[in-house]
Amino acid sequence: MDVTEHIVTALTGKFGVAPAAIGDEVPLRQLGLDSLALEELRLIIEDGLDIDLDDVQLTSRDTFGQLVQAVHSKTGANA
Amino acid sequence: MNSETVRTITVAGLTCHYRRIVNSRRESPATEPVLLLGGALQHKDGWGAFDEGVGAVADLITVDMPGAGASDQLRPGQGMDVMCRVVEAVLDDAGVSRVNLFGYSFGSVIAFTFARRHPHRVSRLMLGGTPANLTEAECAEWRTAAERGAAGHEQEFVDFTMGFWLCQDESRVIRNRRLAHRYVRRIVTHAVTLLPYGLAVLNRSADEWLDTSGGLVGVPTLVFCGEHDTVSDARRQQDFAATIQDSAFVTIAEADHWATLERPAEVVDLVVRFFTDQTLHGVDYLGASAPALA
Repeated sequence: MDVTEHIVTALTGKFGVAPAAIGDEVPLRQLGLDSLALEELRLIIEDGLDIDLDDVQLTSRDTFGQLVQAVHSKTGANA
Repeated sequence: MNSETVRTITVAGLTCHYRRIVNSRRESPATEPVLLLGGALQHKDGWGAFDEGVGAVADLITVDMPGAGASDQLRPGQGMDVMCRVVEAVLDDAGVSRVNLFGYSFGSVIAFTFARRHPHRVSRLMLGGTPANLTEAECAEWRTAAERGAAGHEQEFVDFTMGFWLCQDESRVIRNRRLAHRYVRRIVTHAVTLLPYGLAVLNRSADEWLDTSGGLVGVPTLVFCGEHDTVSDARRQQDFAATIQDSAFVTIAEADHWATLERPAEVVDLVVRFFTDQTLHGVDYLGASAPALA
């Protein structure tokens, strides 16, 4: 499962986001993620991909595409 | 759908930005506009559930106060006077004569000070997580930790704030405790290691303790806090509320100083209820020790 698939699976499975609502330009808050939910999503991504997002600055106003890009930057660093 | 605009003002040589959300609903707003002032690091775009929840009943204003978000940091010699002038300038620029003013944590200090100086401009005042009646020893502890942070021991400062801001007593039930702790640790670490003046902003919040000496008259006020608030405990905040003529005090169950993070939906509900004159009777998220309100 690649990064995008992993995040989409978390959003749909854990947070009940409709797959059709997800898009690169969609702000995370539009997907129903508040600060706490975004924290939980960080945790799921970190555990699932074995990466550390601690120094990644993200808010719920950032987009799904920005989240994917940020995670990619970390998985790339691990490679 | 709400429309959102960002405007820029200049106060005392500082450029500051605020955001206004105007609900496009057809009916008139249920109450006067609501202006939100958060903690020392709170920026105008970080209010999450407030945008929709409070924005549903009133026009909403959020501010990058000096040192937060994209606004300039205070200059040497500037302090609470300039903070209050920023609030006044925002209201003037937005054409708002009277406002429902919400202040949380450090924002409660600004909100209370502003309300005392300009009571005619505040319809209702809501103060949460107030640093009320702190002892000199507690203030000194903060200053010592901040000095250690400024001396390059940032992690010590972060550890101190975690103990100061968040209830560490595992026997107390705190909603979303683990996630809240992760979130707070990261934003404080970011502030003191990445922001050019993050430590100064946090430390300033400790230099501007709540002045509870003069009370407040003529502004209906609700003081509230998480029932396990560790910055200033519920009893001290209740004592502070008693200095305000037309006031009430409630606690939010299963929350500490970060109630807005741990129980956002409940805080939003409390804001909407108070600012639209709804009853607080029978509200299930209020702490058992909270006095009944009309």
